[in-house]
Amino acid sequence: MNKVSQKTDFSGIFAEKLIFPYNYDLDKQTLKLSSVHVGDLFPVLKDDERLAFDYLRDLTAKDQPPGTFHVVYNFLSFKYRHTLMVIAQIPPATSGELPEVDSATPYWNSANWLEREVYDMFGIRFRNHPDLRRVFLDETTNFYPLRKSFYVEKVTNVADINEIEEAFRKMAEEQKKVESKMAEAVKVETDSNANASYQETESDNKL
Amino acid sequence: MSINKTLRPDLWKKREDTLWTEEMILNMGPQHPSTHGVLRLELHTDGEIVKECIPHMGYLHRGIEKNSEHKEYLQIIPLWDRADYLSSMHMSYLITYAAESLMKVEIPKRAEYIRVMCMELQRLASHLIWFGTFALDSGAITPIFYAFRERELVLDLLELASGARLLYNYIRPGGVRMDVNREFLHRLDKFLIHFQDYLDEYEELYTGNAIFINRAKDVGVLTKEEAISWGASGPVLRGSGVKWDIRKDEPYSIYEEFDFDIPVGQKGDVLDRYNVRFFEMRQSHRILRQALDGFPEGKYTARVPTSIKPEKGEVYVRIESPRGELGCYLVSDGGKIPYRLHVRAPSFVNLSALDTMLRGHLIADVVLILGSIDIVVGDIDR
Repeated sequence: MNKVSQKTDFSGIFAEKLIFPYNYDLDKQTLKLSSVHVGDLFPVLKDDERLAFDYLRDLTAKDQPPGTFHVVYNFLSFKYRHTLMVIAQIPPATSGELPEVDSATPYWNSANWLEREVYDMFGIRFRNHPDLRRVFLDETTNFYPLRKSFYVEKVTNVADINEIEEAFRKMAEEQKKVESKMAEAVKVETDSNANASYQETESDNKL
Repeated sequence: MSINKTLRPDLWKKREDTLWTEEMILNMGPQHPSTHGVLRLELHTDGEIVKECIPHMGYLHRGIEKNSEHKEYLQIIPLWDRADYLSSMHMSYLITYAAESLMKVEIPKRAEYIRVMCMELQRLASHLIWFGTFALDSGAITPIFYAFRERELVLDLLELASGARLLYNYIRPGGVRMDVNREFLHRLDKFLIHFQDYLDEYEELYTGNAIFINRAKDVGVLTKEEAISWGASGPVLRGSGVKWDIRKDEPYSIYEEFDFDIPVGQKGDVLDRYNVRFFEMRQSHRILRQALDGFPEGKYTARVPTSIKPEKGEVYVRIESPRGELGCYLVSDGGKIPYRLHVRAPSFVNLSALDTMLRGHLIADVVLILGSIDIVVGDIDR
C-alpha cells in the first residue's frame, strides 16, 4: 500500500452529517453503504470543509458475489491530502432491468467518462448523467462483459461483419440465460430478504 | 485586415443577410498520424474554430481487465505490459505492487533499487518519445531524430537488464526476474554522464525557440480548478499548478530515499506542460544518479512461490507513470486468480479534459494540444 501522508479520522464528521446506515473503517479508510444513499453522501464529501474531497481519482465497480454490484469510488483532498474509498452496494434490481445509481458528475467532472466505462462494462445506469453512452464497445451490443455472468472462454475470432453480429447476439443471449438462472437461485435462497438496507455481513460470508 | 463597411452600407446589408455559417463535423482519425494510435476525434467546427470535441475510443479495446480474471498473477503481468506499451515497466510494477500489498513479503533492497532504476529509465524513454512526437506535432521535424538516438541508448540498457527491448515482463512479485550485471551498471554510469549534455542539446534546439514559444503559449489552457475537477494527473495536473507527485506525496517502493524536485507550471497551457515534462527528465536523471551511487549488494528477489496467493481483501494502489496517476484496484478472494482487477488509466482520464482545453481554439491547435497530453491509446482502451 502507498504510504498516505495524512490519515484523518472521519467518524465524528460522518456521525454528525450522515443520517443513513453506513460502515466506516478507519484502518483501511473505507466507507461502506447502500447505493441508495450516495446521492446524499456526495454533497457532504465535496462541500464539508473538514472533508473537502475535490478530486475523484477513480470510479469503478465490482460484481461480488456474482449478481451483487458495488460501485467503488476513490477520493482525494488536495487541501488536506487525505483519502477515502467509498464502496456502495447496489440493492438487487427487479429482473431484466439495469441497476441504477445516482451520478457523481454534478460534483466531479472526472466521473463523466469513468461512469460511462462502468455502464459499458457492468450495465449500471447512472441517474442524471449528461451523456450515458458506451465508451469502448459498440452501441448496438447487448451484453456487459465484466459481469461474472459473461464467460470469456466462449469468445472466438470472427472476421465477417455478419458473423460478428451473430456472435454478439449469441453472447448477449448466453449472458441473459446465466443471469436469469442466477436470479432464480437467489429468489429461492432468500425470498423474504428483499428490502434495500445495507447488509455487510451477509455479502461477505457468501464469498 | 479590417473591412471598411461605411463605403457601401447597402451592399454590406445585403451580404449579412445572405452570408451564413453552419456547424461542420470533422472526423479526425482513427487513421490520423497525430492521434498517436487509433483514436477518433469528432470535431464540431464553426469555420476554423472548434466548438466541441467528442473523442471516440474502443478501437484498441482488448478486454485485458476481463482476461485478468481468468489468469494467474504471473500470467497477467505480460498482458498489462501491452496496455501502456510505452511504459511497460510501470505497468508490470503496478500489478506486482497491487499483489504485494495483499501479501506479506519483504522485498530486498537491491530489488527495489533495480525496480526504481528500470522505472526511471522507462520514464526517460517515454518522455523522449513524447518529446520527439510533440515536436513533430508542432511542426518541427529535427528533434525526433535526436530523441530517438538517445532513446535507443535507454532501450539498450533496459535490454541488458531484462532481455527485451519494449515489453519486458521483468518486474514480478518478490523482486525482479534476474539480477543486473556489472556491464549494466558500467553502461548506465556512462549514459548518465552524457545524458545531461543531450538534454542541454535539446534545450538549445527547441525549448528556447521563439517560433515554438509563440506557438505553444496560451494555447490549450486548463486552469487549476478545471484540472482537479476533470481528474487530470501527472504532468497535465502539475502544468496547471498543482504540486502533486505520487512519488513524493504518497510514496511507494523506495522513492522516499531519493532527493528530487517536482516541477510545477503556472498557467496550464501547452508550454507549461512541455516545461514540466522536460524538467522531469532532469529529475529522473538525478534519481538515477543517486540510485546508481547507493546501489546495494544483496538478493534481487525474495522467496515467493511460483503461483502466488494474495490474502483476501481489496486494495487501491497508485504509482506515478510518465502519463500520470496509474492506479490499480485489486479484489482478491484468496485464490491464485484475481477476483477483479481494474486499472485507472491516466491517459483515459486526462483525455476527458481535452474538450475543455480545445473549445475556442483553431483546428491547427488540436494536434498540438493532444500531443501535450501525451496519450497512449493502448492505455486508454485497455
